[in-house]
Amino acid sequence: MGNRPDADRLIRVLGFDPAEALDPGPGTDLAAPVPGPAEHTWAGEPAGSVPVPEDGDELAALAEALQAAARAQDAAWPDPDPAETRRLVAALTALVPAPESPFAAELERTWVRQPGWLARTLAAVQPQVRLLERPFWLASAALVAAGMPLLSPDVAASLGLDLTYGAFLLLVAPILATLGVAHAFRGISTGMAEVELTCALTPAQLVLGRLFWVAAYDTLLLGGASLLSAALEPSVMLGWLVLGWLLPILVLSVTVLSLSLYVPPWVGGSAALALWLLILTRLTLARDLPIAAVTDPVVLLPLSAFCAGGLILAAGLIARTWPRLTTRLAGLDTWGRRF
Amino acid sequence: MLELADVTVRLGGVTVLDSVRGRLGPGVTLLTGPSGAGKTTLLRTLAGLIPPSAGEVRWWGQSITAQLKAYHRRLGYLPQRPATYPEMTVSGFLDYLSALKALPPALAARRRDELLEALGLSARAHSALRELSEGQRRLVGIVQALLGDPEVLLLDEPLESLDGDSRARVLQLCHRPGRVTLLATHRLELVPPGLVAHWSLDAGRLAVES
Repeated sequence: MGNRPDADRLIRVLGFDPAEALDPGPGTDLAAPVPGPAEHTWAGEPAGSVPVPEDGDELAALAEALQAAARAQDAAWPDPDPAETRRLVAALTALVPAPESPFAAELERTWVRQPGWLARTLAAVQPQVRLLERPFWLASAALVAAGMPLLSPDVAASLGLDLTYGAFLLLVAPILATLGVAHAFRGISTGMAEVELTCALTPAQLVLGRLFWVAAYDTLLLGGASLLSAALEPSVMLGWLVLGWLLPILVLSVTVLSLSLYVPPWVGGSAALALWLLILTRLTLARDLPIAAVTDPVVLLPLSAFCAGGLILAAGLIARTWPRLTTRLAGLDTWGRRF
Repeated sequence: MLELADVTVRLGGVTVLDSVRGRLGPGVTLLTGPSGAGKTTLLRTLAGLIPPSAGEVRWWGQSITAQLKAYHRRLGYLPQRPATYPEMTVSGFLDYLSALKALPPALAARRRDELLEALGLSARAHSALRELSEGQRRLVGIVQALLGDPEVLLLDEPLESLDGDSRARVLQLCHRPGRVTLLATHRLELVPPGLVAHWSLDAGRLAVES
């Protein structure tokens, strides 16, 4: 072989070194008769099927021919450029399973162990309580406690208020629900919902989690206050009182949520609260009833009808959004922050 | 393996992504393009936040919408704006997101500490997020994206407002065998060479793929 790189390429192409294969070995007489077919093979082929060079000239001619073949092959299949090599490596790497990191393996084991739907939903709901900051807990409790003096009719009279504590709770409940839901869903307008919705929870779990904590806390506060009110004032009808604040909590929560899918939560909250006050005014002051009459079935019954209608409308708004719920909850398709 | 199969996204009557087709394999792929080219929309579509108007995003051959929760468990996502709850502390914020990512608390705490250490934020673990600089908030965002050691990592402008040292550490953290990383930026000069691929978007079309 003339030059070494060509020889190396030839070896690569053939898969063996022809010079070595053709080397008769020291002390061999080239003039001696060629061994029989059963005794001699060349590159794995039975002797006789491949012409064996007779002498050095033929060997040189064969090497020359093989080098020419190698050069022709190189011309037909040039070396890939670096970009092609990178693409090939990337394509091949994608097909080879990557070694799993110990962390990922441990995670997989945890996820596989996770129990059924209910447990997974609870697991998704539970951490969302961290989203409600101390000001929310304190402000809600303070708002309910602010009406405590009204438990005594004498105090209410001395303050010039024609208001019972029961009526106060009914007026406060929508404010609690609105502020709570707007606070819980503030991530829609800050961009945080975009991150939260790429975590391991569904949009329904996200909504359910937040509404649950707000409604549960409001119910706890208002329920306790209602019991106190009923204990101190025997004329209070506990059932109507509870219905009176439970319905607004439900309606306002769902309304603020549904509006927040279209406008920022604080705008949705303000609009829902304004609408609520308008309805309340129409049912009391516009009918020459005192605001304290909100606990009276005369007001509560039509109010319940409005609430039922409001719930259906809000549910309709959410259903209309359903195919794009993730996008809207992420705040990516709302007024003022469109994409 | 993440695949875009003729993905078109129309938003408000405007075609933001136009029949984008491509495959993202393991390694860091750079996504560049001028402002408004559709980079952020592409990342949001890949994150499952915006459903394509036509075509689909596939993960290992199956539409991500058919396996969204499983896909999200393996996804790390950093939005363009470093979104946080400013009143939370750094560790409180990361613990909250770890819980949403369904990471076991002990495992998540270890991972959180490792990542904060790697990005030089350990000393700020108990600081409120509002006290952090924009660059530090972005680093916290990158930590949250990496919390679950994701198989798919989508980072929108992660290198903005970071110093050279932090940029290098972030890029180092992006690399993991088998991880598909798409890194969007409009500032090519911030990214060192040696990436697996480079996609360029122009007016919603994938202009260059190399």
